[in-house]
Amino acid sequence: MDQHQKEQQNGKAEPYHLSMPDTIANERPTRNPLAAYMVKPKVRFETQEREEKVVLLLRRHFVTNLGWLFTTIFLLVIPLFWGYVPFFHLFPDRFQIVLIFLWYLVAVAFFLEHFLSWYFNVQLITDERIVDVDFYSLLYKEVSDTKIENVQDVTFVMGGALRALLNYGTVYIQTAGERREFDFEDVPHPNRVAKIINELLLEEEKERIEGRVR
Amino acid sequence: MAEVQTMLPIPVGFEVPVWGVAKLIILVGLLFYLVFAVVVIRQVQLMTKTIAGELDRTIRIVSWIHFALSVGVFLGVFLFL
Repeated sequence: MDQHQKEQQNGKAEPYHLSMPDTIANERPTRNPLAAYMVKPKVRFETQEREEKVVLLLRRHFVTNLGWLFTTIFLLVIPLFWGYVPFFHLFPDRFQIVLIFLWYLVAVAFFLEHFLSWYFNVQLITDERIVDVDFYSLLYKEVSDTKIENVQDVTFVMGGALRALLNYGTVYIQTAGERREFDFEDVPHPNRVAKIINELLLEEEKERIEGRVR
Repeated sequence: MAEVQTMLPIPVGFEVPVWGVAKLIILVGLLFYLVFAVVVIRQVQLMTKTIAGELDRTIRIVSWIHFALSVGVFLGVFLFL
């Protein structure tokens, strides 16, 4: 046990972790739990270490949800027009009511699945790692992470009028780890995300030069 | 029912309980939906365990309400249809 570890055990020393990147150091934590770009969010993830701090939480931009949101509204409105469909009156009244209930159950299922998929498919940037959480189907998940020090290259792409207008795009992170690339698709403020990762990388390098190892 | 039966190729004098069969099909469909509702509850548990945020409790409650609704519709169809 080295001197620092002893001090840490006695509560005298601060744990070794990177400081907040300058870009967001003075920003307030995001309060809206449905935001797609959350600074210093109040979340914890499964493999998080005790001293590890989440710097950013990213989801797909809200505008990417409009397709399934409009479909849900469409599904909810359709039963209002069933009265105009000739064969619908062939069903007894009780069956007509049941069909409407069944339709709405399907609409709720459609909404739930899309919402859960959007809400829980997140990318996290902590002061030590980059974590990508993907839920592909009902019960299949993939959680990949890489240390900040493994990051080799960060690129972001913003193509198209809508992306330029609403400021969202894809961030590509090349790493020296087992997983070669992390793609953060359609996340808000990709330029800021890239900047924050670069700042964390610089901080990590500074720590390595100073000989501070966690 | 008579209108529907005249549309189907059924031999004369032979009566098919059309609405009974329809009820059975709906019940089987709802049974699958119940399984789906249970999977959603399990999925939400798994997701909130992976990422714990401020909306966890609300989402868990919604998944249980969804399950209760599907049970309600199943029982409604079973008892009253």
